[in-house]
Amino acid sequence: MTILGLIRKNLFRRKLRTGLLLVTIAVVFLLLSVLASFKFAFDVDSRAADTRLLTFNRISYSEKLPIAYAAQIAALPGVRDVGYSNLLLGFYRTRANPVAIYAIDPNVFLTQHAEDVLVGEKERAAFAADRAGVLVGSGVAQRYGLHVGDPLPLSLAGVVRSDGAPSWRFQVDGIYRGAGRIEPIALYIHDEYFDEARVLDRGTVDMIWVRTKPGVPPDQVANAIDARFRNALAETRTTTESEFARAFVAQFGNVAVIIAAIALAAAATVLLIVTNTVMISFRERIREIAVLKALGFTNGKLYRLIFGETLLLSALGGIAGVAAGALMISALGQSSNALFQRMTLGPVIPALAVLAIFLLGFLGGAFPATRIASVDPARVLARE
Amino acid sequence: MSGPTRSPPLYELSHVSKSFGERSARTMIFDDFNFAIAKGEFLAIMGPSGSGKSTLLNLLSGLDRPTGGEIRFEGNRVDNLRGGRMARWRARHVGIVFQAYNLVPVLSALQNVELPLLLTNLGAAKRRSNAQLALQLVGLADRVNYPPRKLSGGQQQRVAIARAIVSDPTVLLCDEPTGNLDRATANELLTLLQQLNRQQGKTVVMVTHDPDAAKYASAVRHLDKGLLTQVARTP
Repeated sequence: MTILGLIRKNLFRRKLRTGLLLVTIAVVFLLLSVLASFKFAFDVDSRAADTRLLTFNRISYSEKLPIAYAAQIAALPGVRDVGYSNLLLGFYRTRANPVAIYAIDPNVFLTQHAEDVLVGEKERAAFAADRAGVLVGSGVAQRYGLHVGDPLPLSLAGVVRSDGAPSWRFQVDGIYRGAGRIEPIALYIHDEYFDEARVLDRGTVDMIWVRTKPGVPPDQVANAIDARFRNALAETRTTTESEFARAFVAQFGNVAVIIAAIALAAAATVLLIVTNTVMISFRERIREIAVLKALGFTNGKLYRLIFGETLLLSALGGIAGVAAGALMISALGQSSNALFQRMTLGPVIPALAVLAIFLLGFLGGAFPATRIASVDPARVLARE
Repeated sequence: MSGPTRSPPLYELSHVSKSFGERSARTMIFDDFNFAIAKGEFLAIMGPSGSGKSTLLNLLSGLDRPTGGEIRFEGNRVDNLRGGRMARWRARHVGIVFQAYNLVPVLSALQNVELPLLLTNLGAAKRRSNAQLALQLVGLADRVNYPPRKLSGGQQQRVAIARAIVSDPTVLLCDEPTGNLDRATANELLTLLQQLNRQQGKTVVMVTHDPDAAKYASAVRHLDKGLLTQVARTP
């Protein structure tokens, strides 16, 4: 027999209790893994560019900007090119199939986003030449079984056509992929075609995309743009794309706080459960501890036994929980939800789990360990 | 074996006092207590409840500390050892046998006997073979893998004795070792202790209420109110 063998025997002396405790720890580690992965999925896209500027209405993202601003911005010094987009919510066939749609100027926008929207030259040219064409994200194409050349009927939320038709008819001219492992789920249509056909908000866009010339500080151009439209009917606010992404994620700040609060509550609960259970086990075995002391076990040796038990317990539960979390994250990644697709275990969550295992093991065993020194074998063994 | 009284003392207690409780409710167990135990002796200590028998055994094992005076073991003071040093001294020199056996229920007989050897530098194989040898010595070679609950009271006490002797201690301190056993089993156990004393040279100090048990000892002392009041010898 070894010290580890003694620890193992002690840990599993009450199999049901230890089993339930292991399940509790595993569930908490599963929860923490999935929550941590979910939170990381919210994090700012590291590929968001600092050299690409976004201009939108100073009042809010939902307010429009005149499309004429694009040409005025293009005339400012330091500006390389200017694109624009309208973000729309569309439905494929039924309202059960929502899709995100960007109405864009195909030439400039796709040039500006050549690194993010990967599409073959032939398909890109076909799209540029076809006013009723659509570029479909590979995620949407997979989900609905779309191929190049397929007709694509869409209805657009909150958009009324001037001819009264309920839906828009497009044709799939190309299927694009994203730069990362995530299958993109947005569609691109021609803003010109869209704008001509709608009744309201004609001649406006949600967002203007600006690339600066090499060597020109983006902040300088951003300030120039906002200065150009100061006191205009629609004042602008211009930021870098990365700043915009951070601000966008910040809107979900309360979600991150809620996730952190849930994780903290779960961690604190499991710590209390482990401490309480180990204390109960300690009280049940106080006579054995007194005997071990009488045999010559030092307090240090007994600390090793207690901490060994709680560490083994948290390691077994933690590893099982993170493994289950990995399976769940993998399963979620198969869904069509972009956020779920972005969820990954990565190297960070296992590293944090190892840290949590050690913390739980030490904190869970700390309180019982403090009682070791106070066990007086002469008094305890006198109660025969 | 030569007469134990001629051997140099294994234990020497000089002017030992021991009391419990605070000033107003202090109970004095020993006051200026002087006592020596010779090496190789099988000493039975008898006396009524509350006479201080178990306290004396606790002082000898280092589980308790005297309020005053000195306890020497092989000429060296041990009453002033603290913490880890005391634990290591006890692990090296003292084997304790309890009335209630005090085996670890989740371990087999062999694993229980191996416990004290976890404090040594012996390898796993050596620990195992030593534990098997100790169990063989107490007549339980065929019960090595039995958990305590599957052993009789006498067998459990034999395992406890094997655990006490496995690390080859200098002295065996036995607190009512036959208190929970029937007469026949008690006699077997006492014979075993006698053999360990006579054949292995172990010094045995046994606290007991039982005059029949005391007959197995080479010397009997009566303790009453912290005083050794009578000395008797077995024939």
